[in-house]
Amino acid sequence: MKIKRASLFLLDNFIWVLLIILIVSASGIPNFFSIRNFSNILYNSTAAGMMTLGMVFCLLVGHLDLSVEATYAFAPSMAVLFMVQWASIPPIAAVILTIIFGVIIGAFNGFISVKLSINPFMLTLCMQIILRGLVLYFIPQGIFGLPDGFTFLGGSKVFGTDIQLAVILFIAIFLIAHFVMKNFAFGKNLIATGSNKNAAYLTGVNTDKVRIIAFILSGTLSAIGGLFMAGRIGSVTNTMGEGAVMTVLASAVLGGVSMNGGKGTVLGAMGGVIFMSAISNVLTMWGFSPFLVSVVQGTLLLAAILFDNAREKLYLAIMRKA
Amino acid sequence: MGIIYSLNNITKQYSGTTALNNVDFELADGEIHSLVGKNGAGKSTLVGIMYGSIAPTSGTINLFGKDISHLTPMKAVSMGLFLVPQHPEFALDLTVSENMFLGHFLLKKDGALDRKLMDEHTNEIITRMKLKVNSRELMRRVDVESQQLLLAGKAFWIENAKIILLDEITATLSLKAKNTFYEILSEVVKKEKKSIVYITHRMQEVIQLSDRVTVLRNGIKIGTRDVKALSPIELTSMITGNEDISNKINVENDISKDNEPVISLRDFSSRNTFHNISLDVYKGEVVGIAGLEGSGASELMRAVFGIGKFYEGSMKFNGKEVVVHSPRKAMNLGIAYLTRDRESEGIIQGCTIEHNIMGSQYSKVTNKFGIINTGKANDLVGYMHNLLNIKMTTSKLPIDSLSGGNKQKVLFARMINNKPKLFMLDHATQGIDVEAIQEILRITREILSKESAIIMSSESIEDMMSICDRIIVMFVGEIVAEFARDDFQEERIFLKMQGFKEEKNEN
Repeated sequence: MKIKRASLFLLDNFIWVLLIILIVSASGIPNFFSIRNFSNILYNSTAAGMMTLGMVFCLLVGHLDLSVEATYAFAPSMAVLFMVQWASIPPIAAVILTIIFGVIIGAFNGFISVKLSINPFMLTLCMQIILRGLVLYFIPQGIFGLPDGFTFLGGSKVFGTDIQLAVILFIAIFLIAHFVMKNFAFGKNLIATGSNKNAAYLTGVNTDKVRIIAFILSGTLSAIGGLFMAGRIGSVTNTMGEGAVMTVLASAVLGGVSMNGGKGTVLGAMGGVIFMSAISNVLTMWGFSPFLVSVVQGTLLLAAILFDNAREKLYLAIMRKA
Repeated sequence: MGIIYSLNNITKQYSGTTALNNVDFELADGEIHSLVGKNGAGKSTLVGIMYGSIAPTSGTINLFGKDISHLTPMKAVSMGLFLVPQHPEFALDLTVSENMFLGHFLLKKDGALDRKLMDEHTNEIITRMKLKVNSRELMRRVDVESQQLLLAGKAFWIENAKIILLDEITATLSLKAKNTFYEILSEVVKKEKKSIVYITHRMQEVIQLSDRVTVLRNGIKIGTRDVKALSPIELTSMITGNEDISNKINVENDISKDNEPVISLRDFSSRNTFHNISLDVYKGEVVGIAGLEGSGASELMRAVFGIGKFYEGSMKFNGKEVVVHSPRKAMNLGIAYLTRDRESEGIIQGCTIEHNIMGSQYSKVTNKFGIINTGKANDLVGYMHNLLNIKMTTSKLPIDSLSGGNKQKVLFARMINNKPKLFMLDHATQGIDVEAIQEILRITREILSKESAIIMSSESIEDMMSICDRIIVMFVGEIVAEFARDDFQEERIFLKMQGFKEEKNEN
């Protein structure tokens, strides 16, 4: 019984096991075991992590949101333009405005795809192209030297320690999301919708609403990710997040989130995000070329997908042994 | 006439249940041999074994005089056997003639497709089948009826199969197309010496078309007979069996007809599926709806539950006029619905047993912050576990670890959870073993009907007869008969389901 529990736990949290193996095998590297380095690994995960979390909600409900990377650039960029060019609103208002942009984009994606039955893959691909185009048009050069009032989320540290505020927020947001998915009816309805939309609808789940909310969460979290990034580099640029959607998907899938909906956990995805960042950290410290880092990341993703099939069978096999 | 295909002592077991028990089947050269039986009698399993898509647990197969140990569909086709399934599958984005010759393309000398020749042959088939189809049209734009006939044509003349299995081919055909098809079929058998296995529900077809008929019931072969020496009544009793359905389910209930009916339908219609249905069901009453595929019974229940928005007429629930346009609305009123499609619409695959029992009701066991009270959820699941005797080790396992009967009980638990006033159970006993059927019937009668009204359907008339107060028969969308409990007679109900107008009852 104990062995069964333990093996199930390991299967469910496989990515964390991998992460520990990675950290142990990197322990020979000088300066690897330092709060500064660990904090760095986490800090590097924060911005993409928010996008990933948003994507996870969409994946769990059975959809894809390809527009996350464009929302990530668009929302903070427009807010900054309102702050420095169009309206000179105060920085804190720009922060809120960023989040509002995220909500609006997510709501648009959700309403159009759900109510008009448009394939979310295509719709969010269109949104990605449109939003990216707008960002390129409005800030061809990027906007630099943003005020502290705007960058504190991504740039400041906690109480003079070496730990960035964004890291704390990253962990907190993931834990809250995990708690919501586990302990709120919304989480259960979201999983049910992603597992079998028809059956969920027939049991009385408002599947349209659940799906729209997933898109809104995706847009909102992407905007927050954009805030983290803008804060970290002290600027908004028009190439922010370009091509990130593939890394985001990779992190989610590596963390055990299924592309077919209904399967996966928020904590698993968190492990996936941190793992992606940790592996690039470790490989860089070992002196790998950054190009090889993506080769390794891609290979690991492939392995994760192959493992995902095997995991389902292992899971049932262990269950049956009871 | 020599025997060209024989299956001997065929047994097929699925984890625990026996679908076919020691069945023999022989097909003679140049005959139309009907295969009949109620749903669940084992017809589709036998057809699958004949075609090689299902491997028998034991038994031997002899095709054209050769013993075959491992029949596969590919081998079957190469030996001259072809299956026309109930729902034809075509490559919808290829043209009609491309589809007809798929797998057997005619080529010109340079290797390119010989479209002209393929079109010619296709047009010949179209003419013979009396269809109005253009051979260059995309298959997507061809109606289902014509697709069905085209596939039969492909089997007859392009695959040039010697043995053709026709699985409920007329189910989707209109009356006119049916008659055309009957003519072609007799012609093909007579002139081209083909042999047909004709799977059907309809007794009229058996009598009109076939030379011999084999009847299955509960996985056992009841017999093979010459059709000429068989009356409809005899055939019916072979199909339904005259078993005594004594059972220990208590059917005493107070039906309080003084009160308003729980549900009251008047001139309830949906454009294509059912017409002018008027029906009252009272608290404590169990009403069965008997009907074949296409009778509109399932669609009626779905419409009442708010699936599919287009119905006309009035619906009163507990005396109040209501309009139901979504399952959520129906559930809030107090209506529960059990889908007949348990695997794809009922259970939420990949989720736990607990999640499946709770369904959308987690919001009812939360505290004021919206956090789910796990204790309450556990209590509820435990209560259902005891009430319905669900066999499971723990409710945290995935739903797929349960058997069909236990999955069905989980769906019952989910419905009861919401304390409905009306249960609509579509094919509640479908695909579960005999023991579970008895339990489900008992639960329906002894637990559900105490506080609620019940509308149920079942592929088995016996099941309905054992617990219903009334049975209503639907045929092509209309109510054609109603039987009170004292008048229950399986043969008569069965004939009504077939659309027989006057009762051919010799007694």
